[in-house]
Amino acid sequence: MKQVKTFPLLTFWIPLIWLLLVIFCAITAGWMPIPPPDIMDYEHQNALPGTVITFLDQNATGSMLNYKSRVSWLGTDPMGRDMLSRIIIGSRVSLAVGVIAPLVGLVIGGSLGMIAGYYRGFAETVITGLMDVILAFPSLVLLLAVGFYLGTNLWTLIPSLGVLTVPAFCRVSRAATLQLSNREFVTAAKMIGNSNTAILAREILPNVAVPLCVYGLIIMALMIVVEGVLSFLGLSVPPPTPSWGGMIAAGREVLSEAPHVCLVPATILFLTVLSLNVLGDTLRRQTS
Amino acid sequence: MKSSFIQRVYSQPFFRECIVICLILPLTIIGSLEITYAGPKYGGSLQVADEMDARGFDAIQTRALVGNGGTAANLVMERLFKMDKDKRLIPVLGLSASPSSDGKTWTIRLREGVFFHDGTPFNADAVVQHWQRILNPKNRYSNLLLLQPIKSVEKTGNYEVRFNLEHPWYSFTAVLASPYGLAALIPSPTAVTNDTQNKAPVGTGPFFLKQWKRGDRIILVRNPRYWQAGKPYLDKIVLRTILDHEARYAATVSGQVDLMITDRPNHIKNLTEHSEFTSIFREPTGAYILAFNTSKPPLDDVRVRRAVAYAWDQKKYLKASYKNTMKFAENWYGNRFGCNETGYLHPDLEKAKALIAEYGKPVEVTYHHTPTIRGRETGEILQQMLKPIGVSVKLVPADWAAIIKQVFSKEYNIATWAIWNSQYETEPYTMASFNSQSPRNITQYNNKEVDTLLLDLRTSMDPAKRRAAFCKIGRQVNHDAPFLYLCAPVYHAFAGKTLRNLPIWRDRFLPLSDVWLDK
Repeated sequence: MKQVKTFPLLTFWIPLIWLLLVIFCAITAGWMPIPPPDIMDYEHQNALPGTVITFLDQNATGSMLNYKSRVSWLGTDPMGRDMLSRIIIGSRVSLAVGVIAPLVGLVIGGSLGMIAGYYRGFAETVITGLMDVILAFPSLVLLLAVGFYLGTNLWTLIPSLGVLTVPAFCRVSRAATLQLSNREFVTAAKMIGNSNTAILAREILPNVAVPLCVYGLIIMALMIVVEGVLSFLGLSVPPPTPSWGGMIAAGREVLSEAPHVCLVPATILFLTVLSLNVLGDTLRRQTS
Repeated sequence: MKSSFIQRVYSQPFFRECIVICLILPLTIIGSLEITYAGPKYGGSLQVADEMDARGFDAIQTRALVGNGGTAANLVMERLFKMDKDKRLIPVLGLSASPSSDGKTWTIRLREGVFFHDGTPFNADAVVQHWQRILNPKNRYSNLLLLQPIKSVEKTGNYEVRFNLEHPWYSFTAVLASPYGLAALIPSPTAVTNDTQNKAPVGTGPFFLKQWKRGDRIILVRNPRYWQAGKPYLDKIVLRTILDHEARYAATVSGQVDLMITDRPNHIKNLTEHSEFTSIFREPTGAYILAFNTSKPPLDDVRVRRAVAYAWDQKKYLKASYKNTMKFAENWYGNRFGCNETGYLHPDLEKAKALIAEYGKPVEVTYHHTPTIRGRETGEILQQMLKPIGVSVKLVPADWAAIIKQVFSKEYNIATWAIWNSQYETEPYTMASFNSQSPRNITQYNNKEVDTLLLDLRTSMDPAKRRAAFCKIGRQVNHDAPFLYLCAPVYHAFAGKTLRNLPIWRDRFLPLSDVWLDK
């Protein structure tokens, strides 16, 4: 009888719902009724979460001023910018890095790993040697060099981080392919005269894809943390684009008088990374 | 048994108490006198933290005396004179300065029996060699324009030199006593000849340089053969470079640092209220600015510069970034000339938009700032204030050495900078900053009328004419907007309670030569 797999609430559904919420916020941020993330309110710096903020609003003609008020649900940062807006807009950066960079690694590293594991011999020697070179290269030096020569923005950061994830995916893919290439269904496919490309595409890839995708969730979490660290060091997206790491760095200075400036983005980052890790582990257990 | 007279007296309580009081009172008085008039304590190591490291110590090779470099230079080397608040010269290596009747020559008598740290005697030859080297156009001293009225310096005796001027010069004594640049500090002729002065400075000062770990610390140790007997009091001064504001603050609060300089408002507030620290403030003249490169589009167009100046709201910036711990600046010379109208461009978005519309092209600029929280913060506020007029700002973080290089090589649009000013005299720094021929005119500002006014200012000894010329220069520069005013700086330093004898902080760099630690 086929065993029905169950997905636990705590280690599957809650992390999944959190991640879906983050993705939803990132996609719909432009339509949300939130203040622009770069508007500074010099009268309300470091406002606590839940503070009612009154401000002068210019009408359409630009000549009349009206008082308006709104609730700053997550407070404001040291420049008086709304934290909720910055977290929502900042999630786009974290997700873009967290999704696209591992995707680069998954496609390139996964393909190379499959070639190395299937063909063995010279191809394997070259590919594993190349991966060792990438692994041996100090990643921070690479990111600093790219940032210095090409500038620090999202579209230089993502490929750089993607390249750094290639060896990890390559190893997972190669290990899985080595196991699969000796299995009966691969031998059978060879016997009936299928080409190597067809075997790789039809027999190996579907079996390698699952562990690679599960591993990709772990790497996603890692990439989000790395982006946060790089933002903290000023090596990620430049202002005025907000990012979670940049927000944590900005809050560091006012940690004693306004801890929420640092703790709110740190908590969001923590929950997102934790969700990805827990979800990845759960899926790995379920698929193994 | 018959008791003695003393025993009988002592047995009476009143007399007994009198005897005890007579014995204790003198001891108490002596003890309190000791506390009140305790002399300086010798020994100990003073740890000081600032944001910027030295750039070098040789007048020709180093363009800017900054941060720990300025403090170290003024402890290792000495000037001929210092200046008090009434602009009177205080002898240091010079004993007297006498002008001729026409004001075109000054004779300086020098102190005898002084030696540089390397054993070279200090005399007229050392002074003449230093000044001739600076004044020689072939050496391309970056502040030469600032010293242009000095025609030559000659030896008139073993311990006497004469400065020959082109014309009577109002600022001459202030230049001699300036702690700001390297011109006034006399280096060892041997170190200069051996080309070691830039990295390992040798002077006659109370401390000599033991080690300079670039980007980390400068270690100065007591000069045991210092010419002022009994000084200095400290064995060692360690000038630590801690770029990160938070790390500097943490080092100070945890006691690893005895004295720190900061401009972060939350640290200023916390340490001012902290009972374990003494606050030291100084309000110099001068201004922190955002310099515009007026030789490169789009800021070569005065309309764009004025538009940016109209869009900039300094009062909001002061509140947002400095929490009003710095002062509002309308000029770089303070109130000393009492000019009625400064020509400062107050915020006016409509005028700014109109000027950008008149320019008619999209305006994109780069802003080069330090990789500190303050640098990034200033950049974000600049982006925010220029956004309504359609000017986009790209932030380029770089360390100070890179910014100085970019600014002097004119590879920037907007950069963090400062117009320094002597507490005593403004003219040389104004000349250096705005004369079209000055290598220190980093904005490449070029206005013939201002050049003429600067010349009038330099050659005039009449206070009324000087004042008029100065006010006109101020108005014209503000009209042409070659920079934005960030603020008029207020320097804040915080010292542990054990630091004693810190004199009034009048000049740009902390005067640490006579301090001692009561530990």
